[in-house]
Amino acid sequence: MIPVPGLDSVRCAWVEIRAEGFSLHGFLVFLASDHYFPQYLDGDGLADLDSWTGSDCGIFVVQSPSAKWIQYTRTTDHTWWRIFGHLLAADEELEHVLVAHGNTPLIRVNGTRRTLQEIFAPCLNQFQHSAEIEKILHRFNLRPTDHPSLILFKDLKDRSIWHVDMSDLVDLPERDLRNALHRWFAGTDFRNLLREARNV
Amino acid sequence: MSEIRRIELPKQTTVDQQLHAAAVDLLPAEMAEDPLVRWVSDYDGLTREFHQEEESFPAFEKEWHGERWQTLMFCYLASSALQTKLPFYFASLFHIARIRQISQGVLGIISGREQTRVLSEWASSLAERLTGPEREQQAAAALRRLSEASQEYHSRQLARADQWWKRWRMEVVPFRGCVEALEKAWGRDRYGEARGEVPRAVLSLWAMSNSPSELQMSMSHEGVRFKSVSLLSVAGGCETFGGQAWVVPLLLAGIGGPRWTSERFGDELRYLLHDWLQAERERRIAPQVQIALDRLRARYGDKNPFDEFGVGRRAATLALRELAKENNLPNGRPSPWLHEWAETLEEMPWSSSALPKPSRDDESLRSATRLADSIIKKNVLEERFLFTEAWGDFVQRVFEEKWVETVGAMAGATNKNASQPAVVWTLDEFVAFVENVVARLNDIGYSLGTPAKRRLQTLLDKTSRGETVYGEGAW
Repeated sequence: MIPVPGLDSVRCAWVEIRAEGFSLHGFLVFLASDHYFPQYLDGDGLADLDSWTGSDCGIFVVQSPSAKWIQYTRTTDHTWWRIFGHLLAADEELEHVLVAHGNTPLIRVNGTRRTLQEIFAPCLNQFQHSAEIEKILHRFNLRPTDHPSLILFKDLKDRSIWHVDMSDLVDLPERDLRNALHRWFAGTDFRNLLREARNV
Repeated sequence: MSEIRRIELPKQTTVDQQLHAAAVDLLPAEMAEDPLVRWVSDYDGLTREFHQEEESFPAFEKEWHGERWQTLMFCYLASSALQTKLPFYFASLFHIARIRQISQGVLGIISGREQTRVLSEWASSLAERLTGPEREQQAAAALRRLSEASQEYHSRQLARADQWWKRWRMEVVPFRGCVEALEKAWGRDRYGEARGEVPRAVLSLWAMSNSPSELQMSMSHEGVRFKSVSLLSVAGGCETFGGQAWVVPLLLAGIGGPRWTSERFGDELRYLLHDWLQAERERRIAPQVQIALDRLRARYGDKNPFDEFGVGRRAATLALRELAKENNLPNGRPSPWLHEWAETLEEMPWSSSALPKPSRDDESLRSATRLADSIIKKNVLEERFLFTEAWGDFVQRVFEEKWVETVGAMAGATNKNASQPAVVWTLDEFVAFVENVVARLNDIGYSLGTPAKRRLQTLLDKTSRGETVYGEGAW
């Protein structure tokens, strides 16, 4: 798995990974509201997927905590605390609200439920911004609703892609999400795809 | 998870092209349409390897007979120089765009016209998660404080992004100029017409690539660093070529060729040394520049102290001159605050330009006043202030030398070349124009006087005859 902070970084990171000699490449596309993909990848997800994709497949994941290209040197590197740290220092009630409910999707904005963090302090390299995702999906001839999904290709010069829809995995608890992904990467579909990529 | 679908990309494009287009799509329209942005984002030399069939540096065409090693050397040096800086400008561009988009998005949601109603709805949703008899009030208070803090933070972020964007453009313009100069030099050198220009252009590009970037220092101060280029390598320059010493003899060897002469060798060496020393000086002084920037930033915060001296807003004072001196960085360049303000000043036209008479409405007089104010402010920062001169006398002198004299030269040029009487400036018209501008300037705090009528007459008469009027006592 190759974590990058944004789509623009994919092309820069390509210089690195091309030397690895992967047969298959791709990126995982999901919105912040595609629960619980962000939470899973924030935890063990990257390591799991890195193991399951093997040494012949390199997949980009746009994920802020492990950004290779943009590093935040502040001790509290989260926008959330940078904005509200001074408030929390003096207000225990507010701190309790944020700690207990700051990351729960409970506020409806433009038809989708968002967390307090997503509304007031979205991550700076939040690739999962819906407008950005829409542009990506459009460029790859996909529908605006085709997320979360996996977009795969052999080489940057390919004129077609493979698309794997993962929308049925939204709102699955993390454990179930993990199991579903594990089954897919261990299954015949992925193996056949890798074989096809090696043979092209 | 569903089955795998094979999808053709639009219009026979490639994954690479679509990724590139999608990345540029992410930029706000104002940035995406900027030619500099297109230049940086279209430059694809980074993803090409040197041994590929395509040239790693687009400007270099196939080598000509007998000089293959020089072509390869300059290709390598130029590409290396570009790879020092272009990844940073590419990455920083998207970082600035993200800051803008995120902060504009947040402010759009939380500070719209229906903010009160929206916060009230949100408070109800939050209150459902809380306990206690006062959960509604608790939720409302929490959201109000979050909203206020967030608005303040994101407004500052937007101001910072704007400042960085201006800085980005300031740095990329000369960088692009170096690349274009190299391309031109190479194009001419194909026919042996510009021997020596190519190595000089390569060294200029190298010097530019390895000069410290104030944008990068500013971003680094905010905790943003980019993996591809460290501050040290940008400041040092050694890493690009693995050491400075061997660059000079290689470039000097590159200067040679069929038309080499000893005199040209000396000239080329002088130019090379000049560029080299300049880059070295920039590198060594970079830490002092950073300290100065940090100090100014701590003092000013997010406000620009020059704002109160905006064009047409307030007269130039001694405080402005002292503020400008404070904002001259150790490397001789203006601070971002001074630069941003200086960019708003109007430029004086050439003294040989024709000067149409002002129209009867207020607009042309307002424009003339803005120009006069701009010229005074620009020059009170640059002109030498004589130690026995009062500030008011200094400003009057600057006004007369830099504005009245030039306007007089323009009116005189118009009179000299006039093809019809209607465009000719009479003395009364010229005096009235100067008086009106003086009155408008004094309204914003100046204490100027209109030069005596006989002096204005001398000025107009001389310039109408085509005589020059520069120098003390000329009018």
